[in-house]
Amino acid sequence: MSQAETFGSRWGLIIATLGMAVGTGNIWRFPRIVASNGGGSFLVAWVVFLFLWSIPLIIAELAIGKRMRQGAVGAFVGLGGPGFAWMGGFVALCATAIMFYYSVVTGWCFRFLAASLSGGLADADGGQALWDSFAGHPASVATHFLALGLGTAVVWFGVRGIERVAKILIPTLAVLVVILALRAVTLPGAEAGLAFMFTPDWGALASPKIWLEALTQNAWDTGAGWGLILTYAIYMRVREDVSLNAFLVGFGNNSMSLLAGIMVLCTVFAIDPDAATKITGQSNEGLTFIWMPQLFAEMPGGSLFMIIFFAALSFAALTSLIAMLELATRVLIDLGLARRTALIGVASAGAIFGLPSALSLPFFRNQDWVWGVGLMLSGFFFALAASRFGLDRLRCEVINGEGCDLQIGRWWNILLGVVVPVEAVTLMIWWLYEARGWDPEEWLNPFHSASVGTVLLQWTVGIVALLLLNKWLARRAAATAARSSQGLAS
Amino acid sequence: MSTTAVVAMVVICGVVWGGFLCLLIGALRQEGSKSSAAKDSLR
Repeated sequence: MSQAETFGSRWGLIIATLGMAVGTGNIWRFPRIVASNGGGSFLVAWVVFLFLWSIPLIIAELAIGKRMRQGAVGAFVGLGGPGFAWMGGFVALCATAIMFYYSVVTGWCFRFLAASLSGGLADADGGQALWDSFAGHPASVATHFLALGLGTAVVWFGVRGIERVAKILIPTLAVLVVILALRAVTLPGAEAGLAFMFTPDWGALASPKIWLEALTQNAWDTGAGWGLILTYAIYMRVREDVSLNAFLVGFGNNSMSLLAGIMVLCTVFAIDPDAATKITGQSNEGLTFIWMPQLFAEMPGGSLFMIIFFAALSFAALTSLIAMLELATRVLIDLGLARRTALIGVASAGAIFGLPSALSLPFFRNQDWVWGVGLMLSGFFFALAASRFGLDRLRCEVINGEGCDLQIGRWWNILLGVVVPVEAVTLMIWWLYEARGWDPEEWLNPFHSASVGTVLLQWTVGIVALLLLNKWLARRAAATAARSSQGLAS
Repeated sequence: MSTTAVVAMVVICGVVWGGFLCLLIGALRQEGSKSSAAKDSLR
């Protein structure tokens, strides 16, 4: 691998990986889930799962990428042999399917940033009016294309392009979120938000739901087990550390979530002291695009802070979208395509397959549901493939190998080999069981937006297609790996 | 805000933000010693 194909420094890798991890999930989902699950009690469980889910998987992904130097499909073939290609394919399929609608979400953020800049959200009902006339309408196709175009332009310049953009956007995002959090905690009445967020209800910790929600939040907002960290790890320098960087990414991501929670909940409670019941009834998009503009409109200097809020959200979304584009591009490169041909293919597919989500909110919610739960299966596959390769081998040869700054003990083997698979299976069963209750009559109907049937149908179609292609995928990935090692040898 | 809430806030923010800062300082020190070692080996 040439120097131009590696991150220029450790900070380049960490900032790009943080850019991938910190997304809209930190800013729009985390505060709502904290509010809906008892505040302080939830936070205790959320910190526990940082250690029991996110960090073991981030360590695994960094180690696998550093060792295999191939995207999801090639890395899984390297870990478990040709029979594992379809599992890597499923990991890539999940992240790519999410990319298709995530560019729509990024486009929404851009549109609301533009509206806040032009004063279009100055009225209390501005957010609701814009949301009603924009999301799910043809107008959101243009912002979907804009988001994809910007992301593609960054990935076009390879890992050094990603690094340069992340080094600008992520520190800016951190500063913006800190400004918003500071402003929020200094609002009169913000104390109620802090009290709501941090007061623990110890009895609530006996409820399995709190723990499952905390685990889900870790699975969705750290990016662990998605294959995205694995993709960036391909470009690690040879003498780069794995474990300390993994801890930094996990803690950095959750630090941003905590700031976002303080920012949103203090703002909400300062403006509306009876906010608790209203937040729990909101969807992610409802809280962010409808309710937050209403609150900012009522706040002194709110129009400036609304611009900062939507700028932060746009930066967070764009850096995550860039990582998803790179993941899909890298998989195609490993199958034999040139980088720019692969990227054009990925961007074109994103433009086409993102259209239904841009034009229909039920379709968007369906995809978010199907592939969001799919990420848990991805995490399970990571644990399975790493176990097949040998957890001790991965730990001793890669994690504690060249460049190691923090030795990892056998506890990691137990977490990745036993705890993570159990968590993944438990989460999948729990979410599918929950979905059964959402629509008891039609829970198996595959054409319902949020049913068990739609998950099973779409996963089955994807997995059957990948199984049929398994031999071809494995052969192509192995051929590219052989060419790369010949290139290194000569 | 109750004392319990304040204690919980200090502990949770301390673990997450304090942990992040400690790790960041640790990584900075490791990078510093690695680049010093690289310079020494060039001399």
